[in-house]
Order: sequence, then structure tokens, then C-alpha cells
Amino acid sequence: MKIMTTFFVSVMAVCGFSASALVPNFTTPHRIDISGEVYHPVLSPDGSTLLFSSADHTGLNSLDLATGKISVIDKSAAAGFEPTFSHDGSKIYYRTAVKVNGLMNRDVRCFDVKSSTMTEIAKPNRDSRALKGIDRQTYAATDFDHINVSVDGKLSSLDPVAGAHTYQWASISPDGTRILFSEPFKGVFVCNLDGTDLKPVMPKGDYPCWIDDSTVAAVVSHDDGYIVLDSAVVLVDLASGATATATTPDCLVGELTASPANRSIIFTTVEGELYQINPTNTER
Amino acid sequence: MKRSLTLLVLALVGGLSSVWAVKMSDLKIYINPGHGGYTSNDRPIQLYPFAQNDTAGYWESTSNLYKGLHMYHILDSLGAQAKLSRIKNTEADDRSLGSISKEANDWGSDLFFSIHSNAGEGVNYLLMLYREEPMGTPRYPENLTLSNIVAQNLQSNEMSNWTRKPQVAGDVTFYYPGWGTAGLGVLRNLYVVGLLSEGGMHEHRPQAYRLMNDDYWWLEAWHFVKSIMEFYNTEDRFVTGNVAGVVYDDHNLRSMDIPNPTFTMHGRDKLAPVCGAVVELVDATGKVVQKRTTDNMFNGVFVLRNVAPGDYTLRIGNDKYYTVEQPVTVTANEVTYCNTPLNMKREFPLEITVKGPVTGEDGLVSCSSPIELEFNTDIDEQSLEEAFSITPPVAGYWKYADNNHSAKYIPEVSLEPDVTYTVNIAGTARTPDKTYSHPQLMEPVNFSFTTRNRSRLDVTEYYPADQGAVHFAAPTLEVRFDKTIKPTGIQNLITITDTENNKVNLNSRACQYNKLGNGFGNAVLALQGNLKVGEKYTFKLSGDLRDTESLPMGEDLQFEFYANDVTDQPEAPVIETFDVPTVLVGNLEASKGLTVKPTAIKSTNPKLFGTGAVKMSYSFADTHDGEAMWDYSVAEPQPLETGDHVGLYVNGDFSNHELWIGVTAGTDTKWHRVCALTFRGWEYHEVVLDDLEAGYVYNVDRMKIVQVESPITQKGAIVVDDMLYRDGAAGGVGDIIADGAGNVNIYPIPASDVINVEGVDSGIAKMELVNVAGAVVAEVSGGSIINVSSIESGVYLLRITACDGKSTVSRVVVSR
Repeated sequence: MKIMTTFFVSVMAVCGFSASALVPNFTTPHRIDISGEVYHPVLSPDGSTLLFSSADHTGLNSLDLATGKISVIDKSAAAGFEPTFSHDGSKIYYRTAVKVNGLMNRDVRCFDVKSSTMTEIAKPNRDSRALKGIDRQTYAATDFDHINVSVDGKLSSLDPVAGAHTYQWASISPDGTRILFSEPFKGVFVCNLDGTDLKPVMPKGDYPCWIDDSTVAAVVSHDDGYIVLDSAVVLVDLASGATATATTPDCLVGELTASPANRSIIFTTVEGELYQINPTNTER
Repeated sequence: MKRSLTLLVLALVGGLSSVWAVKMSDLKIYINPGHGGYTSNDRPIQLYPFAQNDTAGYWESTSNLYKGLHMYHILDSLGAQAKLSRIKNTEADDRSLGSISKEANDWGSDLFFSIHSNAGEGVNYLLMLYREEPMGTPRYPENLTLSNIVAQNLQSNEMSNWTRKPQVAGDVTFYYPGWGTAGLGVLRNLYVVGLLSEGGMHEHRPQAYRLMNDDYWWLEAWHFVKSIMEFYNTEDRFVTGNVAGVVYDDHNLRSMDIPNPTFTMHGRDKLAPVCGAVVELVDATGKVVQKRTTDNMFNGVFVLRNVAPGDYTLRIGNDKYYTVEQPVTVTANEVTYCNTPLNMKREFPLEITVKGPVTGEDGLVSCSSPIELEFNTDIDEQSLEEAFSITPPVAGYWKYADNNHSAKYIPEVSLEPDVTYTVNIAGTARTPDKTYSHPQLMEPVNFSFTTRNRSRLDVTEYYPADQGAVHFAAPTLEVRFDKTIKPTGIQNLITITDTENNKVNLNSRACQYNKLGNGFGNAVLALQGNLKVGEKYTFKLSGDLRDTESLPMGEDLQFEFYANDVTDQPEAPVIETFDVPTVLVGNLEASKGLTVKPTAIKSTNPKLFGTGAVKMSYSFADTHDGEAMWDYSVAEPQPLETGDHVGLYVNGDFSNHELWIGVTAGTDTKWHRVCALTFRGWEYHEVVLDDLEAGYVYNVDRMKIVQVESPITQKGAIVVDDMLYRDGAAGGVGDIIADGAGNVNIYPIPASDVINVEGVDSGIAKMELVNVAGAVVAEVSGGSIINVSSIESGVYLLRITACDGKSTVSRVVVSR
């Protein structure tokens, strides 16, 4: 089912610009003004479509960034929790949550973008594995205390950080040579596909993602154990280690997604506003 | 659309009820021990014996972690799956809140527990916070259900001393508007049912000590798991029970172990927990099935965990305390609480080691003295109070200190002066030991003492006088005493009210106390803001005020006064503004009894007119016969002739000295007394130059302060502002003869019906009320009261002629 929703986009500058030499350059963040709050953004591989959800992940919607058209993909509970595109962007895989015998169960669904049809490909179950491997030969996905890496269909399990407690947000670089991930107690890292050549990127960071082969971004936040005190989008040049903060202190960043295909960055605020940043330096 | 979304949410979380056969092994529980590491966000509490921020002391990040670890292991023992957001307590463990909720979602958790404790010193209660979406509505109804169950279970913990019922609240509502509308960061992105539990107040020190105890952590975790069982109505429950409690001294206070505990304590928490108490659970065969020794963290907490249901004997004691045995029944899935007071061993008779009030070198004691007693151990209060008697009787109360090793009988007011008292303590006074055969005194104790002859703090003088007047602008009052006072809390003993009972506040920062020296006390009381001109005020100082010897005033001081506007004078030329201070120069050579030159400097506060006034400071070397002299000179002095008037605005220092002004023609100087400095703040005084030589022109050329003998006011300062001139030849008020003699008391000012006059020693021959045009508008002969009820409101001069022929003129105000 696909519901067409009217949409308008307005652009406004709310966050300042702070960058210095030898660090990634980027445009001033611009607000994408759509009706309602936006949470849990996921960009399509080509950067043209944004998936998003409600604060508690209920429902899954898509936003065509070129036209501003919003489509409702699924209204189910938890449908918006980490949906993933197929390698060519033609399909969207996601889970919904239901209680079975009072316990959390999740199915697996496939949404065909072209036909706007949904297919249930797994009945509700207690499996919590990531969906990235459904139709990809090469991917990286975290499984708590290790990272599952598939290279041309050959699966391996990595534990690249000594003493790691858990891994989160693993992804492979656009050139397919490096893995970016977070170990929430130790920081954000990159490593080779076999786990070697481990390099720290930043001491803390959530939602790390590739901008291009040499630039990554993440959300760096601080809290008092209860609420987020400050939160910013930070870009890192992997070669030099130079960093740039793309947002100003008055902007409490929530989540982050990026598409290396068109090098666009989308982030939300904790209050559910949506912003876009475009790096301006050419890919190296 | 909103309605359908709501239904879907209900479908997600709804139906968690007893109809399903859920087992603990089916569950996936995510545990988030809040905070992590040892920074200020990890909530350290300074707790004896640890220094602030000592990592061995109390940190919320530590207690949260151990509760979480216990919860993990209990769940694991029941076959449930549990995952912890952290398993250590280092700075690296302070992971982002977003990554925690993501992990709980990733894992497909059934429930989410974020474990915390709360800030708050004087109270101790539970707070359960759940996610709201939108504000005012639980994101899932089960958030509220779970929160209520957890709150109820944690509240059942009788080891804690809860000061109120638990609070259950949505996160956005609870923190709005101070923290905006984002709510709790760790709950915001959850799509599973969960809560953040604030398990008591760690700033409440007795609770903080409990939160240092492993058994306490374990029992809170056990209650979390029990709550999960009740939430899901699981098939399996705990097949064992627990015995828990706090062991504490039945008599000694917490200060026995903790030096000067200034933190808040309620109920049983005031008593000293017993460290190192041996707690044994004994079965019917006499076998000790479980044993604990309470820790050394001043909490007395014990939990005998996972005990098979049945009847047992609980045995508690140690070398310092008598052993207590009590039957207990252990029930599966429950906690049996046995908070147990222990009686300390004091296996010797009571002795009084120190007795009586402190005696001075004169062999006498102050009338404020308490009867002080010290003992060889702590005293049983009731037995002491029953055994104590004093002759003659003194009403008083008991105060105990040093954990009842000392006691004071404090007179409610004071002892009587010049009295010999006899104290008797009967042999029935005893220690609190309930087992030893002879805890009493070996024999009665008697002693006597005699008091000195001073039993009260006396008020020596105060300003303004009863029915007197003060200038309305931010006035200052003063009360003087025969001894230095204890000013602490004095503002609570003072009330100043107007006729409608509106309270006038003191400007506490501007008030000063005990500035007189020589052992005398005073209270200089600056009022907050201005008074209302013409209004009557009542000043009251409670007789509870005590001096530094703790002797009370005994009786209240109360007087009434009025507010006037001292600048409301008949118009007259200003012949000196005192804006420039150099017109007055101290003259040490011409002074008497001074070793330091008197000074004259500019004063901008206080001042009445223009850009400034002149502050004239002096310091007499002795208590009497001094004169502080200032020369006055200006380029073009006002010529003065006999009968002229000179008026001066004076800000007095309540020194009781006298201000004089000198006028000179050639070598002939005539001195005129301007006023006695018996006031604080501004007054206007006028002198009549009635003794100048006819045909000569005089000028003001000097001023002096003549010392009036006093042990307390050798140093002082007054401020003078505009000097006015009235031409005596022009008539008007200038024709009134006055010599300014005597300290005549005229009241009330302003007056509405009558004006009373007191203090004319030779008696009053005649009184005349003169208006600004010089006309007599009222007069009376032979009386001390003049009726002004039919006189128009305004400023008048009251001319009083005494029976000895002397006369005085005073400014009065009629107002109604």
C-alpha cells in the first residue's frame, strides 16, 4: 500500500559553519521542512530517497528528496527500526514487531519500490539478526560482540577491537576495502575487511557513516546520564585525522545517515527536525 | 490516521496478561546500569569516611552497576536471557544514551530496565519514569503497568526508611519545562516496554550508606526480577525466600560512629547501624544454614538470600552487643523483614564523671548556666530525668550530647540571681544496659552552687524614643544593652509593623551588632526601604534575646514611633550646602581630649541635598571632658546679627554628645548648642542667635562636638548638610526666643489630637504653637498637653516657657 502525501520543501539555515584548513568542507546545514516530526533517517544507496519513522520507530515512510513526495510504506510498529535497502535500492527490507504470547517477535518484510508492494518474507520470530545480508554479497553487519562481514558471498566473523563489549553501526566503504564501525566503549574505528589495520577515528560517535572513501561522519554527543546535553555532526578526514563540526551548539543532533553516491548527509534533531548538509570538497 | 496508529501500538504491547503461559526462560531483558565512570555526571556523594570524589566512596555509577550485575545473574539463574549495557565502571563505560537504546532494540528485548538512584537530601522516595509519547500519555500502556509494579515491590523494602509513597511519572511531563520536551535520552528511541528506576535518594545519606551494600543491591535486583514475573505473570516464581533487615543500636545515635553527622535522618535512621553484627539463620536442627556479617559502611544491612521456605531462628549479635534470637518464617517468593535493634553491653555501674555548672574565679556561676553532667557511658534518658531534682525548683529541659555521654539541664529562662541551688541525682539513674545486674549509680549524687547577681540582659537606651520620630528615608534604629548580645537569629525576634499591621523588613546586610565596645551591646537596625511619612509604627523586640552569657532580656521591648520628612521645613535661604567638604577643617590644637585630629570628608551617603554632605568624625581619648573642634570658612560668609536664626540638617550618631556652632565677630565668639546627638539619621535643628552684641556682624566660623561622659561612645561621626538662615529682623518665626536647654520630650510627631511635653524639670509655665507666619495658633498655660485637634495640618514651632524662665523652641508637625 502506498499513500501519496503532499509535500513541500523549504530551506533555511539554522546551524552555523565551523571549519578550518585541512578539514572537510561542507555547506551550511539546511532544514528540510516537512510536516510532522522525523526520526530514524536512512538514505538510499543513490541518495535520492530518505526512509524515516516516528520517534518510537512505528511506521515506515519514504521521502523523495528531489520531489518532496512522502510515501507511507508500512504503518506497523517498529517498521522504522533500521530498514535497509537492497544493493541496487530497488527493495527495502525491514521488520515489524508484534507480541506473541506476550513476547517481542519480529517478522521480515520486503517492499518493492517500483511496484509499491509488500511481501512478508519471514513470519514473526525472535530472531534479531541484521537484514543486510538478504540480497547482498558484500556487506558488514554487527552482531553484538562481533561483526559479520561478507565479501563476495564469503562470510567471516570479526572481533577487531581487543576487549570489545559490543559493536554497532558497521558499514563498508564505497570502494569496498574498509569497514567503519563503532565500539561504544572505545570509539569509532576503521579496519580492513579482514579486521586488520585497525585505525581509531574518534573517541566516541554514534551513527558513523561513509561520505566518501576518505571521509566519514558521526554524531558526537554528551549527556549527564539522563538527557543529551550537547550533540553535533562531526566529519573526519581519515587520511589526516582532521575533524570539522558541521553543526552549532544550539542544534541538538539526533541521528545521521549519508549516501556516498551523491555525498549528501541527512541528520535529525532530538526534537524531530530534518537537515541536510553537502560536503563541498571533491572526493580524493 | 492517529486512531489507527494508536490501535497498532496497542497491538504491539497489549495483552500482556495472565492468559499467556510465559516462562522466565522465554524472556529477553535488557539492563542498563545508569551512568558509567567517575566524573561529576556519575554522581559522587561525599560520605564519611571517604573524601569527595574518592572512587572507593559512593558513586551512583557504581551502585547502579552492581544492581544491574545482580539482576543479570538472577535472571540468568532463572533461564532468562539478559544483556547489560555495561559490565564495568570506567570512563569508557559512559556510552551514549542513543547507543544503549539501539542495542536494546537490536536485540529484540522484551523489557528494558535503566537502573538509577535519585538526588535529594532531606527525603527518600522512589521514582519510576516511563517514556511518554506525546507528553501526558505513556508511549505504551504497559510502561505504566510495569512502573507501578516495580514501584510497589521496591517500596516493600523495609530496610529503607521511605519518607513518602513512590512517584510514577512520564519522562517528558516530569522534566518539562526545565529539560524541554525531549524526555529521557535512554528511553526516547526505544520501541520496547521499559522504565528508568530511581531507586531511592542517594543524597539522603542513610540511603547512600545502604547503597554501598552488596546485599542491598542484590535485593533491589531481586525485586526487579520479581516485578518482571508479576508483569508477565510467569509460570515460574522464586521457589525460595529471603530474610532481610537492618541491625541497629537500640539507643546510641548515628553520631556514635560518624563524626558530626549533619545530614537529614528520619526515624530508625537516627540510630547507629551496627557494623560487624553476626547474623545467623538457624534451622530446627540447630544448623546455621546461612550467615552474614554486616559490613563496616554504617548501614547494618543484611539479606540472607534464597532460603528454602520454613521456620527458622534468626540470631544476631557480636562482642559489643547482647545476642538477640527471634523466630522467622521464610516464604517462597517473599522477603521476611527483621529490622533488629541490639542492646550494647555496658557491664558496669553508671558513674557521673563531671557535674555542675561551670564556676568562675569568684566561685559563682552565671544565671544562664545549665546543669551539666557527664557519664562514664551513655545514660538512659528516662531514668536520669526521673532521678534528677533541683532546689529551689527551676523550669527547664534536657539536652543530650556525645551520644548520651553528657546531658544538660537547661533553664527555660535563667537561674535566679544570688541563689544557692542544690542538685540531687538519685541512685536510680542508670545506663541503657538491659541485661547487666547493676547498671545504676552506686550511690546518689548531690552538689550545690550559687549564682551571681545578674540574671537579665538590660536595655540601656534605644532610638527613636517611644512616640518619637525618624526621618522616613531608609531609617536606622538602634537598641543598646548592658552587655554584648548574641545577634544570631535576632531578626526573627524583631517585628516592626505599621498601623495596619504591615511588616517592615530589616535590611539584614546593613544591620550591625555589638559595635559599642567596653562589653556593651547594641543592635543597629537598618530598615528595608522607606517609611510612610505621618505613619505610626510599632517596634517590638522579643524578651528571648540573650546576651553572650546567654542571659535573656526576659521581657519584650516595645515602643511606637512616627515617620516624618525632616526636609519639610519653612522656606529659608541656604547659606551653606556642604557640597564641598573643605569648608570644615578639623582643628586638633583647639580641641580638647583628642590625640587624633578630627576629620571632615565628603559624604554622598548619607546626604540630603545637592551633591554631598560633610561627615565629621571624632575620637575622644577618654570618656569625658572632650571637645572636637572644626574650623568653618567660606569666601563670603552670611552676616549674622542678634535675633537671627541658623538651622542645620544633622545626621546623628546617637552618641549623646552635643553639637555646637560658633559665631564670631572679631575676637568675640558666641557658642550655641545646635542639638544633643541623641538620635540616628537626619534631624533639623535651629538655633536663635539671641546673645550677639548689637551693632556687630558675626559669622559662623567654627563647630564643635562636646563630649558627654559615656563609656561607650568615644568614637563617632555625624553628617551635616544644608545650613539655613532666617533673618530675625524680618519677624516671622525669627522672633521666637529659645535657648535650646534641656532634653525635652515632645510627642507624638506628627500629632493629630494632642501634643505631650515631658522633661521640663522646673515645670511648664506656658506653651505656644506658632505657625510659619509667626502667629500663635494655640496656647496653654500650666499644663503639659496642648490640644491641636482643630489646628490645620502643617509644620509649626512649639515654644515652651518653663517655670524657671527658660524657654525652648521645637519643630512639630500636625497631621491627620
